[in-house]
Amino acid sequence: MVKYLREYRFYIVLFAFILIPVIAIDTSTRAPREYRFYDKVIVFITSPIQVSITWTLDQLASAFQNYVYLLHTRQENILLTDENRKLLNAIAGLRETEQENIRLRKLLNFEEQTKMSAVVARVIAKDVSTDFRAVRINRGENSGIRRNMAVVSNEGVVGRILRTTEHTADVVTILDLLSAVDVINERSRARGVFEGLTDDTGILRYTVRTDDIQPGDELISSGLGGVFPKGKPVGVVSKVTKKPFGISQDVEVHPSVDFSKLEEVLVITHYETDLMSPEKAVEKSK
Amino acid sequence: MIRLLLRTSNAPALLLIAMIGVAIQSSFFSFWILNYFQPDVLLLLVIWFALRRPFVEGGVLTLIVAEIAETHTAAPSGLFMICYMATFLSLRGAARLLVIPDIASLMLLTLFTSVFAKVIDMGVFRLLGGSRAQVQHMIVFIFPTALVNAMLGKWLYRWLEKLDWATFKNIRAERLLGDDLNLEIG
Repeated sequence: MVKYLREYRFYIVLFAFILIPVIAIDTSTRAPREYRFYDKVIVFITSPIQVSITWTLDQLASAFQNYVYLLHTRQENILLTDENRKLLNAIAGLRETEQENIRLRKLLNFEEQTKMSAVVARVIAKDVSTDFRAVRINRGENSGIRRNMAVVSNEGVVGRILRTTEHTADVVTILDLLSAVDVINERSRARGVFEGLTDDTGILRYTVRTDDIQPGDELISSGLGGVFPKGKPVGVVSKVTKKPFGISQDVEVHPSVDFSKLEEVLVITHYETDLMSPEKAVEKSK
Repeated sequence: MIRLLLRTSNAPALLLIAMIGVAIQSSFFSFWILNYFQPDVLLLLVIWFALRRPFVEGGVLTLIVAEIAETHTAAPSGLFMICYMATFLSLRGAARLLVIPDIASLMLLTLFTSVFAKVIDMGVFRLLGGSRAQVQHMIVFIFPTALVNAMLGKWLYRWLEKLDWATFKNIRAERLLGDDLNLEIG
């Protein structure tokens, strides 16, 4: 037996080298894996290096930007003052709409209440492969972050937590092939599923040909699936192609978040919506 | 004795280089524009293992390196293992026919291997259900990555050569070590 093992050692090892990756890919397609002990050791070594490099580059970039921005401060100040005036007028109009909204909700006899708590985190690294679009953040299980929690930024939906260690977490962005977000067209209320395509585009799937979707329409998260809170911007429709046959239409979407400049994100650690009485809603609005 | 210890430290040192490399790759090259010139440090190491290590040692190191890659990506688990192992085995087979006299030919080999590895990557990805548009996106990165890999290889291979010398992993260094051991026995 030992003699044969020695004789065919090369072929046995070759077979093992081919078999191990095949088993790895086969098991992963059934259940996406969490970090194992040795994975955590690897991340423990690499994440401090990633943090220091990102910090150094951020400092350099911000020093340079501060210098450049200083040159245009006066011009920007004039523009911002003008914009501020316009926004104040818009806010006054929106207050009126809000009051009207409360009255209508009271008439409909319900109010949606949202309870949300979040953790601010910093992006320290991106995916090692240019073909996949995950990012690593500097907060993990110690900050209360768990798998499948929603990640957003001030611009909109970023993605969801893929896996965690004590001090870091990997976020799979909405542009990655592992992601799918149920969305609603804010204008026409048409539904669809947003899926990532490239670094700055996605597509809207499962839209019926008769759905009213126009370029420029904003897509927001529907809250279906329970991962992402309802009403967060996901993207803007950039191109709609209706073929002369078939039941669906091709909708290209530009994500709301600029992923090439993503620095800080918000991980929603607790999120729940429930219905509350109109009295309570009016009381809350007061 | 010290030389033997140094020789044993070669593989851990290479893995440490792999981890530092992947950390730099995923943080420094994550910035916009630089993203398009992101090298694949781990692939360069796999090439080195295929050409300069015994079959079993090289294969095991390749599997560990693939594991390092998979902890830093959202790619389906096993994709890097298949890609790197296919590259390792193919290069191992091709190395019997190839003559690599200098660093320039090694750079050229890196260029072609990078393209080959990416093609395997795309093939497996397509089999796993990746869309055609995503594969097209992958094609955009094939040649910039291959060029950057070849250029980076010029320095990295020299450093690895020096490391092999310092840790007595180089063939000539091994012979020296063997002579020394023989003398000690004698």
